[in-house]
Amino acid sequence: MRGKGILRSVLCVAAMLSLGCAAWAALPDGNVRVGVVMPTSGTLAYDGGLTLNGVKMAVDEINAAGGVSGHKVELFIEDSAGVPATAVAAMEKLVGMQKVVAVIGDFGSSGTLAMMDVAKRSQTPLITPISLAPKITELGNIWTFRGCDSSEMIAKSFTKWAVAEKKLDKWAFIGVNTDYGRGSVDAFSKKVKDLGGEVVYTEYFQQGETDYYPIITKLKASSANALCMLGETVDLSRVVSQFHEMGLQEKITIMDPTSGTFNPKFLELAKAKANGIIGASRFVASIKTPKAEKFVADYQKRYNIPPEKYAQAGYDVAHMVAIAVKNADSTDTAKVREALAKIEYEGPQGKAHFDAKNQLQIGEYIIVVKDGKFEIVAGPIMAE
Amino acid sequence: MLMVFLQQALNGIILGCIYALIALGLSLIFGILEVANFAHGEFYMLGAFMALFSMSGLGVSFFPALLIAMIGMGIIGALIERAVFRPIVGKPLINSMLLSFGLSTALANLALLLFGADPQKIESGLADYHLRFFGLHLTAERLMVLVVSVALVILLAWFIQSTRTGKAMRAVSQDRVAAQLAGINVSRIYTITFAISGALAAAAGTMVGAMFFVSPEMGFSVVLKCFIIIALGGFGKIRGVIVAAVMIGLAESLGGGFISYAYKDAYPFLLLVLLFMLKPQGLTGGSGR
Repeated sequence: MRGKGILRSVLCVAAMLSLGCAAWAALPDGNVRVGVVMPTSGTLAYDGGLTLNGVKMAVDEINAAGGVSGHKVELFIEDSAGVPATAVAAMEKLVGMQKVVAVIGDFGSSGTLAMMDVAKRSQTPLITPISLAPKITELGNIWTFRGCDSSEMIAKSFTKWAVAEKKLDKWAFIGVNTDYGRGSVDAFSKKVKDLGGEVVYTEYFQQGETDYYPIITKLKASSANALCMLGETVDLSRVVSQFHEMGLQEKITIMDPTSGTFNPKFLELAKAKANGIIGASRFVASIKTPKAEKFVADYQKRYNIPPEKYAQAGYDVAHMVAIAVKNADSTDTAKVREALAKIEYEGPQGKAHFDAKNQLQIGEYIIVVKDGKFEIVAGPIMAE
Repeated sequence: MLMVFLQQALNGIILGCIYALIALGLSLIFGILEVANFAHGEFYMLGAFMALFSMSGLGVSFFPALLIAMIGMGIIGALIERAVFRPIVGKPLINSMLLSFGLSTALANLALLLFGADPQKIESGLADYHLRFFGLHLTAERLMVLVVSVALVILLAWFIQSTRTGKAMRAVSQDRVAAQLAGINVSRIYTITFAISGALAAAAGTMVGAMFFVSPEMGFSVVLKCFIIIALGGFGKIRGVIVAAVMIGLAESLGGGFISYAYKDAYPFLLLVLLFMLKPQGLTGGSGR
């Protein structure tokens, strides 16, 4: 009798424990809270808005399909205004007050670099969909992921094509005076020189600059046969229109290898002057895979513009976070981080995974603007 | 090298002409009402939007749109003077500084709310015509900017020198009480001053909107630069302000072209510091009073 009683209580405890364990491992009640830090005001507002479009579309898709294991994804969006200090304050708010499982952001590399310390201190995964500065994944911060290519990867792929194949060997750089601009110019200069090319002129500008005549005038007097622009939509549209005003289009090929200009707003601002710009992009709307075609059609239907790589990155990164939470089966940020590092993802861009430095491994397409369309001329070219 | 220098100088002069239009209005307001109008950059921004919308909404071409923007901003400038600045004329400068700063923020954010942050371009249709002379390069659009701004400045100088109203404006700026005693309607002069300044700012905004872009945040950096210009050129002095505006345009263009473009916004301020060190009485000398 006595033995039976002990057995029963042991079973009881075991049953309770196993139930309890199950309850701890599964997702807690309530929504999966995901933070987003993007510039929604200032000169990057347009570009940041595109990424946000992608994020929102992905989250609506996930929720419409039943959410993450039955839990809805809820977004907490903060404005970084393209200012690193504001981005840090936004990140602090998201991890401190909103208790999010992961943060998507920022747009500019300077903002992302500033937020990385908060990610490490608060042990919250931070995944940037856009920032290109190579430094971000070189600092050994395991809490930070880059859900897109780095400017170094783009530089390797693009110079292979431009310098080695197309014999564009005298480069001039016009870059935005930020971590992204300076980091990218360094990365590209090195690769151009490695392949036997020459860098004849380098100049930086402040974000939101309007008058580029001083630079264009110097450029005209240089021996460059290729101009490499590193910046964002609005600034670069001014560079391109002033470049044409000075009549340089016959002498110099414009290249936008980080494809800051490959979006509908740029075409609207630059019109025919956009023709002939060569770039590299991990994504354009003309990629013909089932996932890409579905994404392009859905996006076009929802926003009435074709998607570009900013929207694609927002879309992919939001899906990656949701998959990571699902695989971790937990909202514990450390488990989400581990799951994110191990993710095998397939999106509109193609198959992708993170390397040991949390850098996404993807290829590049070489693209040229022709009559307001982005045509793929080569690719995908892998960096290695 | 000489060609590069001349081309940079030409670019700088065109830039300077735009600055002159904005700074002259600011300087007139400062000289006559003795208020600092930090919202002047927003006059310039609103003027540009007015031209943009008259082209897209009414379908008029560039020059009529320029005229509509000037008239429209003239009226809005007069209304703002009557409603906002009139009550604080004669009060310490800090009142107008704080008030206009608030007005500037309010107008810029109102524009952001109504028109959105996306920059838009005014199509003058002249940017595709290229002129080449002695190895220098100029688009018809930039030539138009040069011609229109020089014409407006000459018109303003003539107005102030030769018309009855212009003389009354000068009288008010020299001594408000004496002018009032001589039978000048000082309040009317205030309104006219704001109307002229608003119209000049709108002209500048429209031309900048054609050369570059129209966006709600375009006004702020310009107004700071124009305060440097009127500090350099002398408050309320037409000739001094024009010289200073062209100097600032040249400093940006030549400094940006030959030293480093990344720091081009620093050159006007360096110029101001240098001037205060070497010639503290200002560019044109003397206090003018």
